[in-house]
Amino acid sequence: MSRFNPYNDNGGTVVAVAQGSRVVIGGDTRISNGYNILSRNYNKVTQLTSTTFIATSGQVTDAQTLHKLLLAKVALYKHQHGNEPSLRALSKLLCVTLYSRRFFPYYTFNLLCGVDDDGQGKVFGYDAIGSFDELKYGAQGSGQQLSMSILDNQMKGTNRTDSYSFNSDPVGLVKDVFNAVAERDIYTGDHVLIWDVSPQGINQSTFRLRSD
Amino acid sequence: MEKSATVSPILTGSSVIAVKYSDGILMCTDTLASYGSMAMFKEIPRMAAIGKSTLIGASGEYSDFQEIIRILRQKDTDDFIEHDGITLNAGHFASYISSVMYGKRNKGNPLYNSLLMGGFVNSQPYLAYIDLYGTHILGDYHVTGFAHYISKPIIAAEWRPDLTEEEAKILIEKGMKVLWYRDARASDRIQFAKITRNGVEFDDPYKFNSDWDQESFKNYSLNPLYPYN
Repeated sequence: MSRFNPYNDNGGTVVAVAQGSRVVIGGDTRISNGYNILSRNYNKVTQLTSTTFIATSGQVTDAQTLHKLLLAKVALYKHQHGNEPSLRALSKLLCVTLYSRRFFPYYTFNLLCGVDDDGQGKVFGYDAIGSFDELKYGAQGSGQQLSMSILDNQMKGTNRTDSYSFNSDPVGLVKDVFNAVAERDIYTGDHVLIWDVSPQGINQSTFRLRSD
Repeated sequence: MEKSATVSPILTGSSVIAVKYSDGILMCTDTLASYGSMAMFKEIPRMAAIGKSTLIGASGEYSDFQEIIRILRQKDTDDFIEHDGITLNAGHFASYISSVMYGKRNKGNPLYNSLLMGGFVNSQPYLAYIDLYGTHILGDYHVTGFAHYISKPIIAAEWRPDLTEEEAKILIEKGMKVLWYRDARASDRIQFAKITRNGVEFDDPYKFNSDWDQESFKNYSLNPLYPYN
């Protein structure tokens, strides 16, 4: 008799790109269970403060719990300190929250993004047990490998011989990345919800992907 | 103290289908509880009302479904007794039971069900899918189990937000009939229930007609797709 397996991957991809004082966050809206689709319009991104967002792929039930927990901790911080926690403060908070479940991990793969106290847009990428690093751009989830290949090429100029630097539209890049991922990853598709976050404000948009 | 956990279900219900329609939520199940491959109890309800606010349908382990009904009806009673002018709605019950199921999943002893929960939240129709991991997902229509493969594509092709009750019934019955043809754990005795702003209503269960004399089932070896002649 085998034991109950508490883990189940609900699929999906999240991507974030930081540029200057701006960060663009995208998450697809598909939730899968095996070969079935449970939802085509599910939001994987939660806004924690006026300038920070968490985008999570992996198991929906753990992601929902993690986001709820972080919102509660942010509310507590605001009551105790009289202001919102910075992105940097939240980056460590997410780390210790994930590590506190080191021996029964949240099956979540996170990107914590936003505009930090120094006015710079930043992305922090995490594994399931809280190991994290500050990134210029990141991707997590079932389409991580497909996304990172494109992002490395476009943002860093890898695998090309021309001298290259990225100075065009990060929103367009995120859309292109998701289009590419949706072609080959069965768990990514339907729509992308995109947040364009800068000190000027937050612009949210929806982008259609193939639904097969 | 001997501890036990539900690791595999024993007495199970198959698919549940529910859609939002113009007046609220329409939900349907067959009335079968299977004991493995045996059709053990052929006339049991797999949907239940929680007070006047919520309609719940379940697939998976039947005893865990009975436990979920007990837990939620207790919550509904406690809420009534508080008499504080606030009534728990389907959204509250859905959040609560999904948290309960998440907690039991964490302990390795899940309530082995996939639930559909319907009702109204802020006067808008509300339909949630909740499973044994504590996954909680909203939608305009939902199915559980085998119906994902067979019924959901049919419903997805024809669902509209302004379906009348008749149209919704016809659509769901299409889904239930195909399940009877192709799900080995389904039955042809089905029951509809609905939740509207007036509360929960159960229709009488009935047996629908099915055609086992269609050409593709007859003269099997003459079927052009049959490759062994």
